[in-house]
Amino acid sequence: MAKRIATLVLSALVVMPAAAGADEGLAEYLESAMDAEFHGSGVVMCTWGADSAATTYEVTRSDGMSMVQGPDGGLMLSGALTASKAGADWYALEVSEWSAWSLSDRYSLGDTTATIRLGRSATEVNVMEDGRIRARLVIDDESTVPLLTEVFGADGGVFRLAALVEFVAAPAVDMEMPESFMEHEMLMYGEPSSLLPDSAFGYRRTDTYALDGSGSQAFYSDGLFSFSVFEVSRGAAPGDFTDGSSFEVEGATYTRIVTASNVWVHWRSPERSYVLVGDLPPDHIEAVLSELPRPGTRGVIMRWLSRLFG
Amino acid sequence: MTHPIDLLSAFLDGELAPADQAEVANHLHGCASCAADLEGISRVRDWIRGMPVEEAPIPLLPALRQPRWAWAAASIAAAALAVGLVVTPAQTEVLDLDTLAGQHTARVVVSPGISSIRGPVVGR
Repeated sequence: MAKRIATLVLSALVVMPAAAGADEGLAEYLESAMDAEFHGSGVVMCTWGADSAATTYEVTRSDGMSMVQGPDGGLMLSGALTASKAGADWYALEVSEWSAWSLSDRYSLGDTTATIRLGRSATEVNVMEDGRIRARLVIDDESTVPLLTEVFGADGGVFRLAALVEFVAAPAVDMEMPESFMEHEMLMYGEPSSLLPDSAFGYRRTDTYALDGSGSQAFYSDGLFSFSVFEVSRGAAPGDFTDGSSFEVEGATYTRIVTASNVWVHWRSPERSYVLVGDLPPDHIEAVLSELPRPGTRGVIMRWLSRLFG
Repeated sequence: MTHPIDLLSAFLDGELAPADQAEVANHLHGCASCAADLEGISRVRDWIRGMPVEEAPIPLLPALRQPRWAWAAASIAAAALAVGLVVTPAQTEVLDLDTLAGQHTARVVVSPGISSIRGPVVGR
């Protein structure tokens, strides 16, 4: 796999037509990097306005499995199965089905530069969005793993930074899934919400899953970033949002929580309650929110009728 | 802030944005009129909640066409509207963000993307 990313980038820029070729090169890179085997530890930081968060994490990927460890616990990943540990017990969540992945044509490969990071030969790659830099990746040439990932906001400032500070390519480790799980749940397809659009700001609603009780999880992706919109009954309360920050989009007020890996947004439309979670940058979030059901309160009669008659 | 009459019911239910919730609370401290309105809404809401709940013995819509049900519904509606009420029971369903984070992560990791190529981060 040596120099693979350099080859991908070179072929994209030289052999193929600029725009289409660059997209293909980026898509090929994203697909190959997901399976790259490595062990590393690093830090992830996220900043949006006055809100910021950071955490450390350790990840090992080998033989088609991943093990992730952070301050809040650990995860084991194998195919569509995610196992999380709580105390001494493991809990499994398995995705039953999902749509094929595709990368939005708004992204393309920009300038590439050979560099050295963590003492290793690497390639710095700019990911462009409609002619503007959206992300910068420093990719290990041997493994194709991103040693550094920076995502930029619309103002050019860094929105999220993920940097490995320790890295081993193709580690010789044996990983095994737990033999049994306290619970093993399946994430099953559910009925798409009629209130949520099929796409929002170029993000395609690829899958909809049913939630326990009533509600749904709509998964949107543009191939580079992704988010879920959880749609539940209007009376549902995400209690952890009490310390969130308010922000406005086109005059409507939302509440957000910034964590190291995701941004969470909560609002209530006149009909339903929503939680959006994803890794997309703030300007994308604002554009997406403007195409989703808007926050609003119900009129007196509607509130009264809904409570009385359900 | 002008008298937030329209927001009092949502304030009682905790449905306002944090900033609006704080602003209404501040207003209530210094406005006897709105405080009295809030107390009135709260009292009538408690009264409505205290009413016995019975399952309709027959499908609701056909039942509403019957004079007896129509009268009952119209009477309650008129009473509520007359005092400008919004009748909302307390919220009971609480969303666990860790559960939602787990479901989102489970879907993220099966497809390429900026988060999946560097490895997901545990937790939210």
